Amino acid sequence: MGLVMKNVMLVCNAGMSTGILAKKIEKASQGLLSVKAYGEAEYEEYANNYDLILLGPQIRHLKPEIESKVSIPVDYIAPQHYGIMNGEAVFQDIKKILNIKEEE
Amino acid sequence: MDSLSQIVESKLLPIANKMSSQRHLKAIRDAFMSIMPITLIGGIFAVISSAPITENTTNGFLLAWASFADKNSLLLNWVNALTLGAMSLYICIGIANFLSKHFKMDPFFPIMLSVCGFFMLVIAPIELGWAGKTVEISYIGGEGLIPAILISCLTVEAYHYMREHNWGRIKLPDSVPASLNETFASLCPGVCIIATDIILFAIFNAFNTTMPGFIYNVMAPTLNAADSLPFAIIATLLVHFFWFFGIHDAAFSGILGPVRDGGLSLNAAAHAAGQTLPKIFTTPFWVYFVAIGGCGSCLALAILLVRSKSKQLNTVGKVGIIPSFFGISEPLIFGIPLMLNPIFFVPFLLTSTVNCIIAYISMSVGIVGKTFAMLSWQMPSVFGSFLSTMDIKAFILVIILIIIDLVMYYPFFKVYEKQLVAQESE
Repeated sequence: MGLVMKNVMLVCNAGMSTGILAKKIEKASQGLLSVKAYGEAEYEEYANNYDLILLGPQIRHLKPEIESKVSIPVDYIAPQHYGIMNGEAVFQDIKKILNIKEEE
Repeated sequence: MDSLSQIVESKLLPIANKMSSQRHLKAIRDAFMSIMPITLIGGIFAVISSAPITENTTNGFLLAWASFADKNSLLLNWVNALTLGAMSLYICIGIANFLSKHFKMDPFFPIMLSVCGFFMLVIAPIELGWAGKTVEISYIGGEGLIPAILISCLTVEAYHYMREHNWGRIKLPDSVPASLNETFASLCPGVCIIATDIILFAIFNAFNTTMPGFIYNVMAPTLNAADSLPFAIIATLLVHFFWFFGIHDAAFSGILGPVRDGGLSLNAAAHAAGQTLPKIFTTPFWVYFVAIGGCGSCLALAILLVRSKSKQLNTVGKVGIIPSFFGISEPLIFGIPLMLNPIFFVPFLLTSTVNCIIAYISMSVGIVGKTFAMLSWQMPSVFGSFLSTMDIKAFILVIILIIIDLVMYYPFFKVYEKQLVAQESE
């Protein structure tokens, strides 16, 4: 993983509950990631500036819908990490997803 | 449990996806979410206009408040009438906007045409004289929601169809600026849509009614059924059933939103006019009285968790109790987890349902005041219950409901805690 900062977008229904997690992931990444949370009604307008979209598990059913609208990887946050707002664990997951992406 | 979760992933998720991404339901949902500032300002002004005083009040501050509200009642009611009391207009604009965006169209013309149709069909002329024009705008509030939804959806659909099929598109030379070309391309669809609105108005007018008046009469039984205890119970159970599988209830907001916010708007109008409030099942009823601490009424459970002997539950409780206080229960639902946890299936569905039944009955028999203001989804229930009703008994009701939830969760919590403590000590 290069030192280039990556932008990660978290999406949930209104951007509220993922908002709590966004800050924790950013902190765990020590400056490697910029993480912002958006609501499901607004994410599309900003998606171009991001490298990855992670959905809150409560809207994981929208994954196929969102994948069809954007050209960046879309995944959802593991419920168990989401539950205890484990920024470090989600950061590790993000690293995996983006690394795989870079090796391609 | 693995096989059950697989069934869910394969069956329930596509249903939720379909309902969430159906373009009209999604546009309606997004529109209701976007009018937050309007409902908030309306709610604040409704609260200001209703100082909680009785004949025996001696508190100087409350008396000063009451006299301020009395002196400024015109201003306060005017703001209320043009915010919450004009909700249908903003919903109409919102739906036109989001539906246009779904079609990847510039939303300007569809919004303009929708608003034109809305004014034509929802506002009723009384006297259009030279010196002044008087119109009846009662229906731009909660009663106009169904017309607003129909007009905006049909306008955008018709506009999109005509643009796609190049109705009346005039071939202009290349030297004509692109913006002018766009104006001409929208001309024919625009004229067709407005002409339809005019014809509709003429028809309703010939029968001495208006579109909302007609719809309201025809649909009155359905609309009344939507504000009944059975409907409230079914809605609560259905929302929590989906949440038990960890699926957000936004899938239902396209249907529940108009019912709940429409009821709120009607109550706000009645409150401003000093009338009896007609509705119980409103947005603040849901947010402050049914889902106390977020879906699953998790605040009570969070209180149990922070004192738990299980390390895992203790951690989840500490992370989740503050968000839950502000009505966000996702950390608890995914952290405990409540999602797909058979131990919690019964209390997860029933706590909110019991809250709903008790609160509904308390309001319908008049023990507790009905809601007429919505502050914010994130306003904790203990404050929101009082502010949305300006009745201190509503606050007491919420405290009682939290205690009932606590009692209901307790035995199930104990069973689960015992399991986890045993696992942790292994």
